[in-house]
Amino acid sequence: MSDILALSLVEVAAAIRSRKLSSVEVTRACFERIHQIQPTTNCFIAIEEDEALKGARAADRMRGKSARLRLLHGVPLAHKDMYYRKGKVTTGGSKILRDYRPDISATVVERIQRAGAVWLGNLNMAEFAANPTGHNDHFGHCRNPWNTDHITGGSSSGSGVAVAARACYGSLGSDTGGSVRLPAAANGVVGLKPTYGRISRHGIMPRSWSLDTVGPLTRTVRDCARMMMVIAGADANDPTCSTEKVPDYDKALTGKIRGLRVGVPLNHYYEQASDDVRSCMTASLDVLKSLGARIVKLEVPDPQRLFDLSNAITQAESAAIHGRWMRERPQDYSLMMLARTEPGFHLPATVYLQALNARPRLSEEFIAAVFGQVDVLHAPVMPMPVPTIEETTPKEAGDVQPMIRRLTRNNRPANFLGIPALSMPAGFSANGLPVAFQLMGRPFSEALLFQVGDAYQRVTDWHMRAPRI
Amino acid sequence: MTAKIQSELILLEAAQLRGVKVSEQRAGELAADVQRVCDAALAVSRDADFNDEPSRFTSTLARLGAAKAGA
Repeated sequence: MSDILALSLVEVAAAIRSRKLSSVEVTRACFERIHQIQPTTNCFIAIEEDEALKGARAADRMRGKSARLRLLHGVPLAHKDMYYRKGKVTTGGSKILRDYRPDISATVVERIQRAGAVWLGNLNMAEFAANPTGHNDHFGHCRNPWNTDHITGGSSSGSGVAVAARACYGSLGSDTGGSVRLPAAANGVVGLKPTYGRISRHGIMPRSWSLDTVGPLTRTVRDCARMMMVIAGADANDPTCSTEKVPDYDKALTGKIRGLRVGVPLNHYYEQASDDVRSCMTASLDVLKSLGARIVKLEVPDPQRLFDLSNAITQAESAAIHGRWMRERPQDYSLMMLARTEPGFHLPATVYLQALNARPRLSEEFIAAVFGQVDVLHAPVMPMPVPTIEETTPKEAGDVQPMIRRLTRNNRPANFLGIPALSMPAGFSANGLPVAFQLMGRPFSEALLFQVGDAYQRVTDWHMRAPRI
Repeated sequence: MTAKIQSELILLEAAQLRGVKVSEQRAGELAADVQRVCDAALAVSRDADFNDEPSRFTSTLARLGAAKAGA
């Protein structure tokens, strides 16, 4: 693997800016790596080599003309195949949208393009962003680069794999119930589920309007902060997008967390946790403690209730989005997608609205109870080691919900609450697959999560480990 | 819920509202899934205020945001 690929996003951006490297060199190195890993990991749905190299050449030419280069100038990225680009195919990982060419471009796409990024291609994902494993019956399952028998986590499966395998420097995923954090965790990279409304959803394929968030996956927290600087902020095209000022996330990366209170939940998040996951969590807390943080154990308001209520919202909204196609062409959906959506057709509208209506109050209660006592909440992303593809392949419809409940139990509560959560690589389980913790915080506390995560990465090297594939 | 959701209800809804046929076994599984979600919604609705409304969610996030906490 080329040394160029060992650089982080921020480092490669600086190297391109200072002319130590050209965007063409870097982009070529990415494609060499992509062609090497694609046959075994299947992380791409579409590879756009000619167009990307054209973009890289343009970026290199511009270096001579513009004194003020942009934040992602010439940096190769690849994204979950659900970000609309006008006139270009966006499949959503589905058979139904295999030839879909949207007539708009997503706000985040326009922002990363304005920031100078090179688009390598579209990444594999769970069908319609609706499963947490990375299975895809239409384009082939995405496979974990640490061990290809294992799941990648989903739904942003290709994003987690491509970043971990050093095939690109960053990726946009989306998180409705863990879909950024799970693949980040399973592949050993950083993933942010931002505050609901922090990033525009305009022009992204919908999974569940009330819970969907756009989130970056990167190797380092600093890279993640860089991507957030580019994509976060108000958008008149998305009425749910916040007008809250976007802070300078880079400035938050001080390396200092002395006196910060890190909460460890006594209930829910460690139920079903394996010994190796527990020991990685303890080790990560010891690191934070050694940096001066104070560890505070606390009971949190029932996350299981939040989990069930988030299901009321996702199932009802997904059933509304897919109702017509599921009636007219059910054969074009996977078993996983059909089984997951089906309960939504049987929920009374009042139940859906009761869940939505409870959200402001329950968020307020949770935030007061937890973030009145601690600054961030620390918990495992997945309580168990990353399972195999075979272990998580449903044999019949009834297998789907229990499997999804097990995988996403620690993730969905943050989506219901609308709070940010940052997934951080924290070691390996006995089966050799990555383990991760997540840091949750108050709404719009992404800068604080970056501060803690970056301090952790300054004294650990889990994020530097690359799969040998 | 006031009464347990029966698979018969799911079978009827599937046939009459969705125009599809589901097996009895699947109807039982769906009934259990729907029951869980309905129970959760009913439980929280007991504490709802008459003036609550879903659109308060984004303003609640803004109000409780980090800027207010001084982070």
